[in-house]
Amino acid sequence: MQTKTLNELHDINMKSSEINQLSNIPVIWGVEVDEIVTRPPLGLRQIGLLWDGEAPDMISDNLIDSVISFSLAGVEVIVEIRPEDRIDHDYLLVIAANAGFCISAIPPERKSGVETWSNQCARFADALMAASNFSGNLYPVSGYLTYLVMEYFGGAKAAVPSDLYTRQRFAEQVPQNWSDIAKSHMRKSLSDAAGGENELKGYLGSILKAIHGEARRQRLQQLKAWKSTESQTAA
Amino acid sequence: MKHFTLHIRLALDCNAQCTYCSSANNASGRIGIGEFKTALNFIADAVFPKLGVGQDHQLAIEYLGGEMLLIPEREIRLFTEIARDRLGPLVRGLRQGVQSNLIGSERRVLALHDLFGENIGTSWDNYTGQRRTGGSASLYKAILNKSLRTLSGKRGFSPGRVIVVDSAIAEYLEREVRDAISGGYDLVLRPVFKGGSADVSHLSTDELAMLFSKCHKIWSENPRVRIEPFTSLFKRRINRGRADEAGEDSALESAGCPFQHDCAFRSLSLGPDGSLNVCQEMADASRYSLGNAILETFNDHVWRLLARRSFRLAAECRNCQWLAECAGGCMNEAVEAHGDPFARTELCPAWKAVFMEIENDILSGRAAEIERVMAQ
Ligand code: SF4
Ligand code: SF4
Repeated sequence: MQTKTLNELHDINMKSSEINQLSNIPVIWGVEVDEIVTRPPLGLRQIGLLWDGEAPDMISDNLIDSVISFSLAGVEVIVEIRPEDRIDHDYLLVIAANAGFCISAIPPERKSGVETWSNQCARFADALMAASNFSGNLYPVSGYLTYLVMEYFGGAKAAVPSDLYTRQRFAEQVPQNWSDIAKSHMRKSLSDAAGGENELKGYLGSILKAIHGEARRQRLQQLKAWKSTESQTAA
Repeated sequence: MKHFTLHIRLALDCNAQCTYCSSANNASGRIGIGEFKTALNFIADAVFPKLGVGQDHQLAIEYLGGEMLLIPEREIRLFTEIARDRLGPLVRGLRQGVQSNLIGSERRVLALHDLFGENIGTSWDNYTGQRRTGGSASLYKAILNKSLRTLSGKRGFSPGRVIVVDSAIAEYLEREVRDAISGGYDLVLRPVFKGGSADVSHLSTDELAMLFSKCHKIWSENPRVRIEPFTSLFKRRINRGRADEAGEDSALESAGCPFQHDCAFRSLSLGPDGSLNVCQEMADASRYSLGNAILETFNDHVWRLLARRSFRLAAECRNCQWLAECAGGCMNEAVEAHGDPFARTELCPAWKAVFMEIENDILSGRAAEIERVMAQ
C-alpha cells in the first residue's frame, strides 16, 4: 500500500478509516470518525478526533467507542470542537473528566471564523472555572491559564508551547492577531467567572499552590518507591 | 496507578441459609482445576487486553461465595497459586482476598488466614437472626463468634464485616455502628440487593436516607474505624481540589465500587461455570452477560454498551454538586430500578443525605477534627 504523508492526509480531511496508512507519527489531529479503529498505528501517542454528536449534550456512539478504543490502546484522546460546533460546554467537561479525554477548541480555517472560535474558547473558559473534577487538558484554555499564572507570578512575557499538539494545532496555524482576540475573550470570561480581576489573581495563586503540591507529591512518591525498593532489596 | 477487581466464584455452594442471599443452600458444584486454568488463560490473553488491564494496574482478586470454606484447603491453595502465577506477571501489583462467612472449624479458619492474611472479610448481623446455618441463627452466631475469637486470639486480627441493610435490620443499624466503633472493627453497610432472594424486604429510599444520615453522625463523632460508605465519601469530599500530599492514590481511585461510573473498565466477575459479568452483583442478577471464559467467548458489543456509562450519565448526575465524589453510583442499581445502565441509582437520596451531613461537618468546622481522628 502507498503510504501517505501526514500533510497529504490533512489536506483531505482525514478519516479514522485512513489512519492505519500512517506509521510512526506521534500526533494525528482533525480525524473524522467513520469507523472504530481497534488497532491504532504504531508509534501514535495522541489523536485529535473531531466532535460528533446527535445534540449539544449527546456525544455520538461512534465517537464514544473510538475514545474507548484509543484510550485502551494507550493513545491520549483529544476531542476537537470546531468553532461552529454547537455543544454544551459544561456537559463536555463532565464527560471528559469521567472518561479521561482532553478537549480542544480548534481554530478556524479562515479569518471570518475567528470571532466564533473566540466565543467557543470563552465559553470553555467559563465552564472550566465551574468544573469540579476536570483535570485534563482543555486546549487552548489550559495553556492560556498556565501563561497567566506565569505572567502574574513570574513575570513571563510569552509562553513557548512545549507539546507537539499545541505547536502543530495552534502555534503553527494561528496568526498572532487571531490568538490575541481569543485571549482577550478568554481573559474576560475567566475574570467574570472568578468575580473580578482580584479574584482571578487569587484563583491563579491557588493553581500555583496545586502545582507545588503536585511536585511535592511526585517527590514523595519517588521517595516511597525508593524506600520500597530498598526494603525489598534488604529482605 | 489504576485499580482493577476480579471477582472469582469458585462455587455457588453454601453452608448457610441467609434469607437475602442468592447462594442460600446452593449445592451446584465447583469449577474444576482444568476449567479454571482455561478460564484464566482466556481472561489473561483475550479479556484483559480488551479492557486495557496491564502494567499500570493494581489487581485485586476477590474470592466470593458460595462459601470458600466448603472447598478443600489444598484446592483453595492451588486455585490461588494458579491465579497468582497466571495473572500476577501481567500487572504491577496483585492482592488476593476472600469473603467468607467463617462458618467452619478453627483449623480451616486459621488456614484461610494463612493463605489470605488480613485480606479476609466476613458477613455480619448481630441482631436480626437472618443469617442461619443448619436452620439456626444461634448456631450461626456461635460458630462465627468462635471463629472471630480464634482470629483475634491467635492472629490478632479482626476482619472487616459487611452488613446487608434491609428493613429487618433498620432498627438495629445504629447499634451495629456503635458496636463496630467500640469493638474496633471495620463495617460496610450494603443496602440489600434485589437480585438475591425473593423474600428480601427493602427499606424505602427515604427511610434508607434517614437511617444513613443518623449512622453517619454516629460514625463522624468517633471515626476511629472505617464504616462504609461514610469513610470513603468523607475522604473523597474532603480531598476535593487538594493535591494528594501523602502520595497515596485518591479515595476515588482505590475505593471505587459502588461509587464509580466506569465499572466496565474496573471490574470483572468469573462464575464457577465460566460465566463472565462486570461484577458479582450483575452476575447475581443474570444481567448483561459478557460471555464465558471456559467456552472462550467474550461479548464485545455488551461490554462496549456498559463502557459507555461514563459518557452517558443521567442529567441529574451530570449537574450534581457531588458528581466527582459519587460518580453516579452503582450501574447495577440503576439497571435494577430503571432497566437502564445510564440511569441514576435508586439510592441517590441516601448518598445525598450522607453528602449533606459531610457538608454540615465542613461548614461547622468539625471536618478537621474527623480528619485528625481518622489519621491516627
Ligand atoms: S455495577 Fe455496581 S456493584 Fe457492579 S462494579 Fe459497578 S458499582 Fe460495583
Ligand atoms: S448524589 Fe445522586 S444525583 Fe448526585 S451523582 Fe450521586 S446518584 Fe447522581
